[in-house]
Amino acid sequence: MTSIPEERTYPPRPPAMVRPSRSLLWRWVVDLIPTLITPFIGIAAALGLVVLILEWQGADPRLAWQFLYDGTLATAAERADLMSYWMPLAITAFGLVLTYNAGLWNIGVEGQIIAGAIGATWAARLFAEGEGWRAQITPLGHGWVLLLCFVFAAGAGGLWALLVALLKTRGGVNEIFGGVALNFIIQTFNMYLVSNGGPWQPVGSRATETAAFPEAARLSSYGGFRHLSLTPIYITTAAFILLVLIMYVSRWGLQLRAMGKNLRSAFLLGVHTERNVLMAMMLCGMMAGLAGSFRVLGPYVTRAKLTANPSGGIGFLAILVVLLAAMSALLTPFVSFAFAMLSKGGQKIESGFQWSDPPINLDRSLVRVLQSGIVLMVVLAFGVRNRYFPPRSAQAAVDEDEEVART
Amino acid sequence: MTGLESTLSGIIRAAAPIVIAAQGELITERSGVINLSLDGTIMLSAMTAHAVTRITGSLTQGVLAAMAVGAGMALIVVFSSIALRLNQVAVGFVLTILGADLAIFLGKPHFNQVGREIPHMPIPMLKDIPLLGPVLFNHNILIYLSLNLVAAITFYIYRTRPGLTLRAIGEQPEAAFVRGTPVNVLRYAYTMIGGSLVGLAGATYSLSVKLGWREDLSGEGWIALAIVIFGLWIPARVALGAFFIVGLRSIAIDLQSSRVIDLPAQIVNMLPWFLMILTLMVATSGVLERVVRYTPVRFQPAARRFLRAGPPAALGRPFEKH
Repeated sequence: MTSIPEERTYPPRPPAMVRPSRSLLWRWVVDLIPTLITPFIGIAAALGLVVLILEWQGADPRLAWQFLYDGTLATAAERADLMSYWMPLAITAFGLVLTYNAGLWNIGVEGQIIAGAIGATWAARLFAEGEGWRAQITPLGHGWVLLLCFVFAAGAGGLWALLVALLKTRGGVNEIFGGVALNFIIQTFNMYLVSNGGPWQPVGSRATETAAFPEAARLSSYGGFRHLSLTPIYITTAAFILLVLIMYVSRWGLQLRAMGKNLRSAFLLGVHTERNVLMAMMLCGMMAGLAGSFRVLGPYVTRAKLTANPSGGIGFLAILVVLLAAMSALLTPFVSFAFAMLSKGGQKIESGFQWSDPPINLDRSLVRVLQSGIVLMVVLAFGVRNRYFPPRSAQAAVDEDEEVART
Repeated sequence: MTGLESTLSGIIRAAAPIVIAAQGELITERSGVINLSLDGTIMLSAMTAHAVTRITGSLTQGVLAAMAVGAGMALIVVFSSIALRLNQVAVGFVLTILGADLAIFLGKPHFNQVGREIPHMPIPMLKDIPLLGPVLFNHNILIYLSLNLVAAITFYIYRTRPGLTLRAIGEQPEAAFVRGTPVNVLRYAYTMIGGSLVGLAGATYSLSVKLGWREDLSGEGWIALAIVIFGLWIPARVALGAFFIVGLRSIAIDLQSSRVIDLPAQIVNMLPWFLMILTLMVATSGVLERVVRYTPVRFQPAARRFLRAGPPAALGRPFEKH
């Protein structure tokens, strides 16, 4: 395509509008205000929708709020329980921050959590129950078993994620479809393991779950709370520090961001894009796998087993968290905490209204509607803001583009 | 009916919603928009069709409500893409989850309740043709619609002027715009038409194929999305892909229940997903090109046309006037 270069003349640019000279900091703060307000408009819209639903069902929204508080923060036991729900969600979201910044839609994270749960269960069976594949293995001590459980979980999750990544880079299968397919495959495999006389279902049992793990393969509980253990908190904190180092300090994080902005130009600038895709996905899968292990090694007997649905949907929830946190590593802990609160409070809202007078049937899936509704509304609110009330920094960028176009 | 007839007829029936949804998504993607919300949309519209039919007692209203739900979801996707310039994949994914959550929450009172079914409507005369009659002409109106839709969309896309415009706005929106085509208006229209077809697919599930509302539709929308890629955005191939996947699924279930081979039921459930990965790999790899090269020279252009087709060039790319 050849075109004859044209001499074009432009009229001289009018002088830029002179703004009253305030300090840079002041302008930065002024620019920040709409950014801070926008998400709250979205959240308010979603909350308004849920309040309407509650009123329509005849339930008092203030009572719902009270139940939510009662079920999550009111007592120490509830807070401990909330903690044990928050940790797997948070570590999954940390992993997703990596892939989403690199522009990878890791929908397969749900499957990676299940893979991790299966890996942890396998390690628990091998090393704590001594049920080896061929030979009996001498059961190991508590610390070793737990360590191996985590290693197996991270390995299984990482490999399952690596499979998605390889399908993307080598097989030409988009990570969204590869991830969805592998999610369903591992869910089915998990069902096979624990149902209808599957290999991991205890003989004679009708329940779709394994037997509870022996003491050696359970996290040690802390402070007398049934479901609270410190180990997941340590691991999640370490994962958070790692994530912050990667995203804000290391060169690799910069490369991931560059890939997310424009894969092709990152490649042309010498970034090893394929290797980075594999590594980011694998790291995310390992964190998701650890989340899966937190969910099956729960300190109390009732949670120390592989069930039919070990992830409980926290993978998709973590994707919503990362989208809501705008892929920011620093916001993710707070957003995941809020979502953990909603998820956990949902049970209390359901049971609370069931026993209220008159009883109201309010399914706990309402909080899930609220969660995805909030994300949709906030995303839309930011869209409206950037489109119709663009921030000044973006406006400056547009001006610069025009400048470039003119020269 | 013989065994073969009932198997084939069952495949046509079970594939109908996937065919309808995939054709809807095909129109959407041909116009350059990705509507990723299929899975949630199908669940929400299936629940809507069932609930509205139970409440009003009218099948027509149920179907129309489901189509409206589908169009509404599509409107959110296309509005946020064109007017707000948001990422289509992000909005579509959030809608997938929101649709499923809403369906489960709002559908609780109608869960596992008896609903009405679209009446069976064998076509007189034609249904007595051996083999073809029971397979093709012994269904209800939505199933016939799924088959006719493929022919209608093929004709529309390849043989009419508006169809040419549809392809143009998906391939070269700038060129189409210069020719005076209102690109974004048409994208709104086609995405919503596609979305209403997805809603119709949901109604086909709850009013006919999987009667009632049982929250077990998760995954069907993703299969439909993958089949559009497998079918390389060609209506007839997309439909063939749907029959292929559903056929393998039903054959595997038959084999398992007849104990010819002793498979755990779960392996059968995994099968469509393995196939999905495999077909996507084949569709995007160089294997098809090699197949073309080994066909006789005379047939090569036709074979290439049939096997090689890329996605619409402007798929997922918002169009902006300059």
